[in-house]
Amino acid sequence: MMLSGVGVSSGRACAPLVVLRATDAPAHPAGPLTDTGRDGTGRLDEAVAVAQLELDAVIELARTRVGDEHAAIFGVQRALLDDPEWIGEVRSRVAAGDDPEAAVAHVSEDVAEMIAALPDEYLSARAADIRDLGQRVVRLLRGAPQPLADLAGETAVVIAAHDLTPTDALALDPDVVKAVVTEAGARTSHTSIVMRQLGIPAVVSVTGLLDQARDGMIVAIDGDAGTCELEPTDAVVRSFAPAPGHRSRLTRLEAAVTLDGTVVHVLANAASPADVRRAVAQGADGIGLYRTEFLFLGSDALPDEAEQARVYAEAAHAADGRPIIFRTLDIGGDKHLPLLGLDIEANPFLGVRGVRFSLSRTDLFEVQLRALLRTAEQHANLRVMLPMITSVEELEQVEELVLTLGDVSAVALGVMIEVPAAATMADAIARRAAFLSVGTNDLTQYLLAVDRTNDTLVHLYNELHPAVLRMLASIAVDALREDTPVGICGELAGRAEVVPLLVGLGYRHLSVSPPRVQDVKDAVSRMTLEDALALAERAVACSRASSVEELLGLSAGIRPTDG
Amino acid sequence: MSEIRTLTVRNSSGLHARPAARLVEVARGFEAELVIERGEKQASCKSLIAILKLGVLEGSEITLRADGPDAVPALDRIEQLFDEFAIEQSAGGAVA
Repeated sequence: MMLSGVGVSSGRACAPLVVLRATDAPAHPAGPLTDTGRDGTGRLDEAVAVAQLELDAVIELARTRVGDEHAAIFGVQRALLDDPEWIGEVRSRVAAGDDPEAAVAHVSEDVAEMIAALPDEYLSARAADIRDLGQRVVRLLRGAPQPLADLAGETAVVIAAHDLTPTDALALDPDVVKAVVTEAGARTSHTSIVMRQLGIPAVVSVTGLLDQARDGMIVAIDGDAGTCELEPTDAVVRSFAPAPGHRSRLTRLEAAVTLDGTVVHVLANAASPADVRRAVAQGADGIGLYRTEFLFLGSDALPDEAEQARVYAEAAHAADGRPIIFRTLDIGGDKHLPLLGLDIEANPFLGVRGVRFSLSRTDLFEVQLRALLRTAEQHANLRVMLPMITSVEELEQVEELVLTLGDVSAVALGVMIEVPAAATMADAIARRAAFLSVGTNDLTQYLLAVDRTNDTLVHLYNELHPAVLRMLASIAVDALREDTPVGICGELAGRAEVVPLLVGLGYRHLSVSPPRVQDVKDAVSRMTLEDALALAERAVACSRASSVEELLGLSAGIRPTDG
Repeated sequence: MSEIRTLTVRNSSGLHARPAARLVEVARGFEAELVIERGEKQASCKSLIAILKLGVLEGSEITLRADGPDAVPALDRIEQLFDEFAIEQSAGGAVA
């Protein structure tokens, strides 16, 4: 029987089901954790204190499993725990004589319903976080065991449930749980984000699932199509079996090679040494874009040379011999740094951004360059990239500045191509630069004259506009003619279905967000250069974006997101 | 001592759960009573639920009111926080 829902985490799997049914969790054999002899308020305080400790541990676990930025998901629950609108309401009910369990359950449900009714999909999805928190505290009050099934001894299962909390999802072992399917859930839920980070295929919003699902039933889940097939035919089961030699979902640490032998370097974007470690663990061939802005955030003073050098060295060390490209401070535009007291500009995207800022504040820029040069002495894998270069002269100015500080040949100086002027002059820039890297996000918005942060223009911002593709083609041709390596570090590079086109256009270095690395490597290993070249030729000849999308087998408007 | 400031939210998903949780964390570090207003609705900066209910999306004009001994540093820090949200997002951090 075929059921359909919403695919929220891509991938396919076929395995026996384990069905989790919401039951009143039985009391823990060892009895309730809290002392029933005490009054309600005392028990509540105890349960809340334990929940706090549990959540701190969950946040720690999330940091290692899904990374710092996604660990913040659980910070939301931590903040809810002492929210006056939640705990205040629970306390007053308990003071009025309610059981703490009932008070927590009622208040959590009331608040969750209020949040679920909000018009914005992202905000309404937060109701699940409130329910997760409520369940946690009720469980602690009851002393019930952790609700998730015992999977010891299982080797491959698909989990079916009404819904999973983000905490449940975080505890899943991707080696055992091959897919997850739920009746409730939404693409924007924190549970879905955790699934994507763990790489577990998932389909949510499957109506009628629990009426049909039985333990042990074979099920085929397709997280891309958003389908869940119960008791599929043998032919379907075979089609879900991994192809011989297919190693998708196992971390592919070696280089990605096309079927006809072309190597494509799949690198990752990062903003901290921890990101670099994670990217390397996820199989990245290096760091194609290290954003140094983050170092300048969150502190009250600008980091000095020693502090910057310390962080750069830690990141370069974490790259473990793989190339790591540090982009110099890229602020201005929509990125402000309050510490610097920048002027508000009428057109910040056309204002003092990137290298323009750095060249106007050489006092700051010199500190950063010195820190990078110092790091390069110890780490030969270090490269430096300049953002917002518009002319050859700007590159020369930076080279001159570097010369006054040290040996310009000691560090590979590359240029980010994101301004149409630089794209047009790519041949001249490529003659001087050690490498080029195309920032497709900004290049697209400048070329199409579309502010990508303006919601009313979303339909006009399209990286597959033929004008963008022609510009990408000409940059690649110019760079390759000068024998200068050229890569892409925008979001476009992380879209697996677009990868053959980019390789066909001449790009051999793709830098993507760490969770996209394996998908992009998989895409490379499934294609041939010959087909890619033909595809690129046809795409560049298209006169409209919709034709390009059709060529790539994309339905218009559908974009993958990775949370 | 009280202080009032107005600003526009610039990160595209507005004040959704994670930025809101950080705002709450920061706000709780100050003694002052901190209120965020959007249109006719208002919420305590120290309550995540209240902020979520306010539904602050990108482009929303909000007013911050602070009342207490550390009103000025509190609003300085909160303004800086909104700048950080905008930077982190444009730097590609998945803030969603």
